[in-house]
Amino acid sequence: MKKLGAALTLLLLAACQKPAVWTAVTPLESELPGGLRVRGEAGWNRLDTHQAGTWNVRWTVNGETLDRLWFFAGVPAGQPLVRVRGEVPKGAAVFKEGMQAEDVAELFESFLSAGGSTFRRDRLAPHPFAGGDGFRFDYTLIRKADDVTLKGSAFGAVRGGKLYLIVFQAPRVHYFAALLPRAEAVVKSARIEP
Amino acid sequence: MGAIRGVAWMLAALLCLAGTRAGAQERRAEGVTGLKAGATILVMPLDVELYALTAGGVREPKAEWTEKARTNLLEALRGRERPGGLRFIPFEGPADETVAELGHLNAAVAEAIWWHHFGPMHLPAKRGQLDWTLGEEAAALAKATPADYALYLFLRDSTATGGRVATIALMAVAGLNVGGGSQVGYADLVDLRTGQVVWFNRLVRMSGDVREPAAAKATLDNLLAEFPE
Amino acid sequence: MLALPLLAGAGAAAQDPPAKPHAPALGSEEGGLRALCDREEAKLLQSPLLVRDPALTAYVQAVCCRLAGPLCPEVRVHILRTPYFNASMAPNGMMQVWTGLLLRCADEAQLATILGHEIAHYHLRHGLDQLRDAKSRSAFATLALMVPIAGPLASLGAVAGGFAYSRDHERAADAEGLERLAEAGYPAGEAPRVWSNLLEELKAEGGGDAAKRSRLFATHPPETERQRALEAAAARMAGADRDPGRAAFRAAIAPFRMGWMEDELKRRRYGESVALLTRLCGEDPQDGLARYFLGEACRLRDGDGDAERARRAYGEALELPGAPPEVHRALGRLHRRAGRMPEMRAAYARYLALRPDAEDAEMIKTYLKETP
Repeated sequence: MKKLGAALTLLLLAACQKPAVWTAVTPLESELPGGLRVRGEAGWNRLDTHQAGTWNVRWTVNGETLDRLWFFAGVPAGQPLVRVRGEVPKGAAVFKEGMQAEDVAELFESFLSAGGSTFRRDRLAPHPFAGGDGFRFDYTLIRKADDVTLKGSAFGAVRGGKLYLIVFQAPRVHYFAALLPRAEAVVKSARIEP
Repeated sequence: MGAIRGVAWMLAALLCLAGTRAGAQERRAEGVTGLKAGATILVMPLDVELYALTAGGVREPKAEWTEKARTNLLEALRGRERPGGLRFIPFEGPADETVAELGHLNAAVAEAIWWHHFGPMHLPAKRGQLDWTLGEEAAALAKATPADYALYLFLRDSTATGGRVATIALMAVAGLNVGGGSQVGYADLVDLRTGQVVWFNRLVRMSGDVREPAAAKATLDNLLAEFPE
Repeated sequence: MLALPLLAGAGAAAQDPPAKPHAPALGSEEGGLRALCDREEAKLLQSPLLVRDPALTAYVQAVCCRLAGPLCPEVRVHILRTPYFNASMAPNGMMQVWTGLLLRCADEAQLATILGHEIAHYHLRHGLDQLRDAKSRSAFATLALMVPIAGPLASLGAVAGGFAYSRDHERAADAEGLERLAEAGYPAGEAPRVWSNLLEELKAEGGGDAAKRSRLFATHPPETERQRALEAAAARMAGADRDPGRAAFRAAIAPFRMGWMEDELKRRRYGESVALLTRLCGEDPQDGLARYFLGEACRLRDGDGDAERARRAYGEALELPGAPPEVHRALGRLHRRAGRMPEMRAAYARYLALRPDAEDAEMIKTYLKETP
């Protein structure tokens, strides 16, 4: 019983003590890690997840099971897209210096596909990012937890040896098409301060 | 199956909330007061499972109970019909991929509402409004059977069996509460013209039963609190 | 009913073949279990992971029927696109076969080894025994209720079936499965190979005892014991010269292999993938597809000497039938990195000529315009 009690307590502590605190995004310019600046209109909510890596910020309109704008703002070489409890997860692929667009797409796919997945890249193309050259890739994914088919678009560039990537992902039914223009507007506003 | 894991989160979330935020959240979308008279509600296949909680604390699936529960719940829904009022029609169209995909999406919407509207992770930009949708694609549900709304209902119900009851008594003597049965569920009503979720409610309690018609009606009354009729 | 003589050494307990399952009362334990499985099957039929290819499903179903004999009408085959080695049969007759298993089989006899084993579990009603066994009830409930269909798994053999059968059950199913294999006219000698191949892959990943890292080997009899028992039993059986059904099997899976190999790499267990693809290249030295993916697996593993191994594999694939156009892209990528611009342009141009609508065509066209 003790063991069970302890497990329950831990579960409750985990659930109670750190409810993720979302803040509303204002129409003013938002500061993100790595010197990234974007302008978001009202409606977005923001979650800073510094324990995962100082470069991670997430935005959502309706909740993350439905839509997510994901910032990987200035991932340094040798680091994964997301750290777990401040550490590089075992076996996780990391960003490396000299990575090209297709390498970054592969890195992101590997990050999303841990444990096997139905990730399919639909398009990889050049795309301007933060006032310079960059790339965009689109993908389709079936989320295994609930079988929801998701679509995603990622925009990024490597600047000053760091990776900047903004990914929008939402269910194929309704949410992706409905919110993509708002996500694209955020991407379009991106600039990087040295 | 992800729903089962969802139940664990939901339970944890509810236990956390017990003392902090009680029932202040709107169950209806802004401006929804009632449905038009004679509106037809498509009852999507009930996502209901009943379990027996055995002495060892194992949940054993009970097909017979589940069958009864479905019959009872549908009967209780019909009991809400009044001449000239709402009509409940079980969904009988082909459960094709579109229907399945909308069902998956509805579960994702329900999870978002559970966490962000009723749960602890409020989205400030939502300003406390029940403001979620399945999108206009939801109209596809009414293709085979014309209807105005769709009702999704999810329920997991565990009932302690004799052996479990003995365990509870024994543990109670030792000052421990190991729990009898429990009910976890939610229901939501979708406007098939717009896809908007016009009403949502969730249910978590450590009692309840749906194996008998009267008890099932009581459960349904709880689950359909503030249902816009 | 098939004759079921006991196999000495395979450890099967003496028992009468149980009665054929019939529709049980809903209120019974079995009724509850079957109804639950029926609902899971209904969900499975809507899963986006379900392979909806009538020809492939019919082929695997036919292999099943050849093994199941009179039980054939009770078995319903569903193929799921998941890159792990697994097949399972639920107590209601729902047979799940994962594409990772199909990719790993060399011939029909190897596939039949696994299917025969699962049919034996069903015939011997092990699922119900498991539910009745109070000790394993928690494990059963956890598995049956919480493991999502084809959910994310850490390793190759992470789940051997939906149910955590006991080792006695596994031995009995091995024994009966082998009988069914021989009865159906397959060479029994293929059976032990399935296990030795899988163990080779798990060992290849490195880091600790392979057998311990896999739940398949934790709940199944120790692989060496199992392999030996199967080898001994197979040796006593006639028909070593029988046709293992290699051509028919390869023809059935040929249209899907590329997608399955892509899925395999997404597991991110590159050591296991290199071992698997090396084996596939060995089984068919003319297999350009496996050769290309061996190059990809080496490139992604990125260990000492892997860049060179990858380059060599791509080069070899170029000369073989079945190599996909992507091999030119892989070479273009290597040339570009090394600054060999004319070679890069030649390779990428070949890729775009073969795949004008490639998803990355726009990106590659910008590379073609680059100057050193």
